[in-house]
Amino acid sequence: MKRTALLPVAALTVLATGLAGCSGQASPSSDKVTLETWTFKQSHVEALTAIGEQCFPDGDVTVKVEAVTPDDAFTTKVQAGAQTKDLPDVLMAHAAGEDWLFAQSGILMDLTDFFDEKLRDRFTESSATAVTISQEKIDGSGDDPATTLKDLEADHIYSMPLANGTASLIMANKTMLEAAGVATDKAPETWEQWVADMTKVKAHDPDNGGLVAGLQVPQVGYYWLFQPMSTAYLGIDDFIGRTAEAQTTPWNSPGSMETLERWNELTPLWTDGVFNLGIDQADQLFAQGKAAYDLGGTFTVPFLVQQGMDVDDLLIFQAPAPEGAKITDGTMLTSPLVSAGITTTSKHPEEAKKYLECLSSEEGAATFMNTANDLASAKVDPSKVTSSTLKALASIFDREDATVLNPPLSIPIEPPTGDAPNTAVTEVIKISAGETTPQAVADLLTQVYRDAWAAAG
Amino acid sequence: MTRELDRMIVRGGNRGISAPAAVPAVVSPRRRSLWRRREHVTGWLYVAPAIAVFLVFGAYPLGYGLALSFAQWNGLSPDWTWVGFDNYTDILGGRPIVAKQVWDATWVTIVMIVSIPLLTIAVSFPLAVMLNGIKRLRGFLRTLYFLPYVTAGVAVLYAWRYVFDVDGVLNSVLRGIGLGALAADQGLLGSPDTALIGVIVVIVWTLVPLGILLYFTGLQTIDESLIEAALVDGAGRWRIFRSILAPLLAPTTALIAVLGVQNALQNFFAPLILTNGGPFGATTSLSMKAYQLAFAGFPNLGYASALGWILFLAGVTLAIVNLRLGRKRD
Repeated sequence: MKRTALLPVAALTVLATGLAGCSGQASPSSDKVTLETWTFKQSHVEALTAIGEQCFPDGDVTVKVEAVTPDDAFTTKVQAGAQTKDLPDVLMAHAAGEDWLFAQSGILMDLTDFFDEKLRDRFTESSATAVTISQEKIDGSGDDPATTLKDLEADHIYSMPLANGTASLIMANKTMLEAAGVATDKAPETWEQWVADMTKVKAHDPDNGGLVAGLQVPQVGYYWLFQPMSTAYLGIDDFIGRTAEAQTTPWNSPGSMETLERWNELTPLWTDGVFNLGIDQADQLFAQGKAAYDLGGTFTVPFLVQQGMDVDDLLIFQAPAPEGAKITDGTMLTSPLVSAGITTTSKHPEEAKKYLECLSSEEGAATFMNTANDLASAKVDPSKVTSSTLKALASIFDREDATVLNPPLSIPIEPPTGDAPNTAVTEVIKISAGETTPQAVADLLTQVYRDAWAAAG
Repeated sequence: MTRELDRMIVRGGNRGISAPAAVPAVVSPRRRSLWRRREHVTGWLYVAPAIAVFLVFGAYPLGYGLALSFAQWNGLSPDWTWVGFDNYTDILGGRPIVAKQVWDATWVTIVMIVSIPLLTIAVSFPLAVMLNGIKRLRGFLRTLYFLPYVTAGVAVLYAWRYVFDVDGVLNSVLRGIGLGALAADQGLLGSPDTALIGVIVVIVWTLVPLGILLYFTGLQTIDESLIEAALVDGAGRWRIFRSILAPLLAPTTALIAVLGVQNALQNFFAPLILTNGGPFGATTSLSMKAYQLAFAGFPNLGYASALGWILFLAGVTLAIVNLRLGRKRD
């Protein structure tokens, strides 16, 4: 009997030992420091590791970079890490949004004192300002505990810009274009010319000659292409008048109707099945030669390179303005997309700060650009950038002689409550699916926005 | 058993049943009490691991989820903000943006609740009858039909994506047999008009094996003489099905229907992998919406938990109604 009574005791002991094993392990004592870093960009891992090696040449600090993708998996990982106090030392975040949410949740340190004038000078003023939270942002975040930023301080910084970028970039497969007889020595100058080119390529290769984008997320088509094209066609004032409270140029105004009609011209040109493609899947399809054009952003280029595409086989351009547009020389301003923060639970905050300094140094930024093929937020001497792709991108965005299509706006252009923006996104993309018509969308959205602003008082 | 043994010992003898060697035939009350206590402790120790596992992985998450449904939390901050029943009222109409998304998902879920059990029954019952009617290869076919149940997983869902793709197997077969007009230009999952059909087909495909197994088991219990008597009386196949098989298998049908409803309410990974809820929310069921509320964009685990509990209550209600109706029919 004694032996049988001992069995469950043994079982409990084994169970307890197992659970204790899960709760944590004592690490062997060592003078070497491992600086853990989490990112949601696989294409950044190599660059972040290389900068770590440059930063700590003695090898006393090792930067260990872990990529967690896709974004919702990254969010879940951070949530779990926050609960178990098992966060890394350096945490990447979507700049000017997610970094503030992390800070509000007590995950990221306040870097305002660290981000002194010397460090600030390493960035353009617009990049530094973008990650600085304003009182308007705090006030506008509301009281919802899931989204509020009310515990943050205005004019403070909680993460340092790492990678800049913007969407509204078209990548075309030169080989496929040339096979269809479309010139690849320069980008199309007007929307109409671009549509004509795409029609020609699609006619030459109906299966693989289309335009692809991750339209499973309708925001991709709306914000990356429809909205910049609308801004160019309508001009800044009329573009604002379409959705802002004054409703001076509502959705069913002649100009707005034209933008919807231009958008509808793309309907037969999308690759079949595009509405069930995520962003990465769409880019993969393009990289596999199953589409001739890809809608993306500056961040798409490194992904395509990672997928095995030859950069020299890409014709990269910003979607051109339609004929009759008010802005014909439009350019998109790049802004910080990824920023780096230090967690409040970091055991090595000083080493983490040194690493952030290295990331923002001219040498670090050049390494980042040349290794990750992505735009660094920190200023870099152009001569140090060897990537021909990034040189090409520099001539497309942030052009000083051009009109900015996405300027910072001083008034809200969407109703503060209700679902009008989401309705606009869905309805406009439904045109591309043949689910509705430009006229029906114009009439519906005119009513939706009128009602939303009336409800907002 | 222990109590019976004690009773016999108190009566002064074992009367033919030998007590274990370790227990003396006559013991003092104090020793007996000690013995019983030791028995109790031993019993508890045996079940303790199972109870510990249940408490940690079963009861704790349930209680945690219930508490969370009365709080607002983004999964990141250390503290919850208690909001009482606000999450429930917001979901049910108090906050238009969330309520609209939830109502849209409700319609998708209703379509799934109706179609998944019906299709599962419609497919699995005839297959089970066929399987029951054959003598050769029965074991092989039973294993074959059960394969989808044991292979269903993320990898299989990705395989289904390829089947339904623009250039996938389905479209290729349709074009190959001259039915190209029926091929989905955007792929079955690429159009809001057909995506839900694709998701439902895949879920039904995973449920049919279980349906076949349950029906097959039910058919084995039906006395063959009943069928033979009906045949002698001139009953046709339809009459036998309607008057004998269907009534006798009604409890099985009810069970499969409940399983189908449960799957329609709970299965979020099929829409997640196949369509991510799209296109245009056409396949966003309530369970998928709960996932999106918890982990997409600005996470709100309070809403997600509240929606989860609403789903639980809906599932329990539907199961009770189904079983009550079944009993009434019986």
